[in-house]
Amino acid sequence: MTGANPTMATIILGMFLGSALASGMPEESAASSFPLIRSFSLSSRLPAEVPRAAETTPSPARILVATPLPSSLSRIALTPPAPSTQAPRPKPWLAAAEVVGINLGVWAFLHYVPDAFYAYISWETMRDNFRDGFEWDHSQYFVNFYHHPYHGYLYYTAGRATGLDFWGSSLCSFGGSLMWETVMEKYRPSINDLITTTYGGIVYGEIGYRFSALVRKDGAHGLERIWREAVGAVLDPVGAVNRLLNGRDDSVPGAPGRADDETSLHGELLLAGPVLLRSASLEGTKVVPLIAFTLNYGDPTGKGWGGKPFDVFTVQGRLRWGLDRPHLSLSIGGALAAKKLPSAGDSSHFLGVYQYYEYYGIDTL
Amino acid sequence: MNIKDVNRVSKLMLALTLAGAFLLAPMAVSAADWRTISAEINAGTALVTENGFGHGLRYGGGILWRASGKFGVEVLFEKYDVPVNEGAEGLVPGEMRTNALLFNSQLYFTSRGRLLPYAIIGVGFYFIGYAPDAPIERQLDFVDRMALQLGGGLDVRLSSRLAVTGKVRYNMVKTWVEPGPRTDRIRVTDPTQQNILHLYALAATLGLKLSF
Repeated sequence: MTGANPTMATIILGMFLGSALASGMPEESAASSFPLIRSFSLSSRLPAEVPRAAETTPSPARILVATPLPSSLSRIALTPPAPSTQAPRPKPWLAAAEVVGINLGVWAFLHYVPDAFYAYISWETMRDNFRDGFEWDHSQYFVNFYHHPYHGYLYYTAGRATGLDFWGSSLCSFGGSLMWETVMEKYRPSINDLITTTYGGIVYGEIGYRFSALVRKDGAHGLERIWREAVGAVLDPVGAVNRLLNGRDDSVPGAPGRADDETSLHGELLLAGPVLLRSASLEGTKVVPLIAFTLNYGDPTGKGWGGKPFDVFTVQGRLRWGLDRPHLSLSIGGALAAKKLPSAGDSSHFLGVYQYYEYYGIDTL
Repeated sequence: MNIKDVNRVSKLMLALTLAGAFLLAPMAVSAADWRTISAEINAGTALVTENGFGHGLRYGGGILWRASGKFGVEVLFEKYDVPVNEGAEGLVPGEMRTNALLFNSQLYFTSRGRLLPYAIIGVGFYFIGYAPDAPIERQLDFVDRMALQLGGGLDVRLSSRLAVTGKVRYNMVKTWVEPGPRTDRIRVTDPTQQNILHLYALAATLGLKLSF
């Protein structure tokens, strides 16, 4: 953890109740509860004319005055393609081979290009790692909570690209991380790296997979094909490699966003400024720009829920220019298992077990 | 075995393999059938490009598993000894003796025809020993390493079960010399503070592959 800029990441499994009430929601619940560690929260399906406040959860560390863009400019909505009915054939051995290949590829790069000292491995380092067992890794925060989940994200998407489901791909994330920790570094294996790589990789991987499936489009050609494939490759690089090697098939049944025609993507983009910030570590105020976004895949009240993990999830991000550099915060929460509760009239309720991954610096809030 | 013997054996292996290939060529097949498991033996030369190191006989064998017509994984055990000349990393003349356990993926460009070219990408565990020609006061060892291996090969199918296989590979071993025996874990040593030797070796081998 860095001293000058205290930061924190949380991984949470929690309960979530989403409700849409015919008579409207209490004002407090309409806002994002971004800075809070949530184990239970309430959200709603907002009417279009209700703008979201940029900062509605004041804390002792900050007071913000924000000027959001008009909601008509900041709200976007996409509807995914029509659903398919046939499930793809999973290829677990290919998935395992790709996970091993990712590890060897990353190791080879680290060993031969930047000459990373921890990439000098041998039979002896592997034997020592198994003998000495796990330890707690005190590497930099950014490495442990961003690099490692990104690595896990590659493992996870290898599973997805080869037809595995959420749980099978999660096993890829765990297996890839376990391999890396035990044999691919000269460091002792780290238990916290294993957790963040696996857990963060699952979250990043699933949303990357689903967003890339929304971007890629069956039948696209020319410039449209190029930009869709390029953006899809950024969101899901392992899937892009598989598409290059095995041929693209956008009609692959069971792809995210295609299983339920009610699934939709709603987003908000907030460009705020000037922002007046005051905190315990800052005397006076500072004017800094702020970019924030919220993406709802599916609907927090359960619309779009098809019974698969992450059929409904929310991504919230915030980029703020701090005193020395930009600070990025991300909060992702997706439903693993959920149930639509009985409702009356226009009201709807959705109870779920959610998986969260939150990455933020305290001083960025 | 000195250099002359090594060269003699290499040439003999090459001649025998080529002769066998020519004699059996009429039996060649062109069908796309491929078999899952193959055993291979090979021999050839290894040339270490680092200054002060020479070249020597390289030989070994292993098993290939073909997952599909285009992809296979082989596990090989190979051995090569090369001379160490005066002045190489402060070593006295002697021999570097290497045992390598290799895990290679083979990416076949085609699964049809008599000639099957393929690319090789793999890693190997290299167990490197040092044998000075004359006794030295203080024991010195090369540090064992895992290293990348890149290359290509060509299978000349003589029958549905038998093929002559030629390979050219580049092993990229980065290691250093240290006084032994080591008393602490290897991870305590910072490689970036060592004088790294690039024992990159070009290996050219010919062999026989028998499929089951």
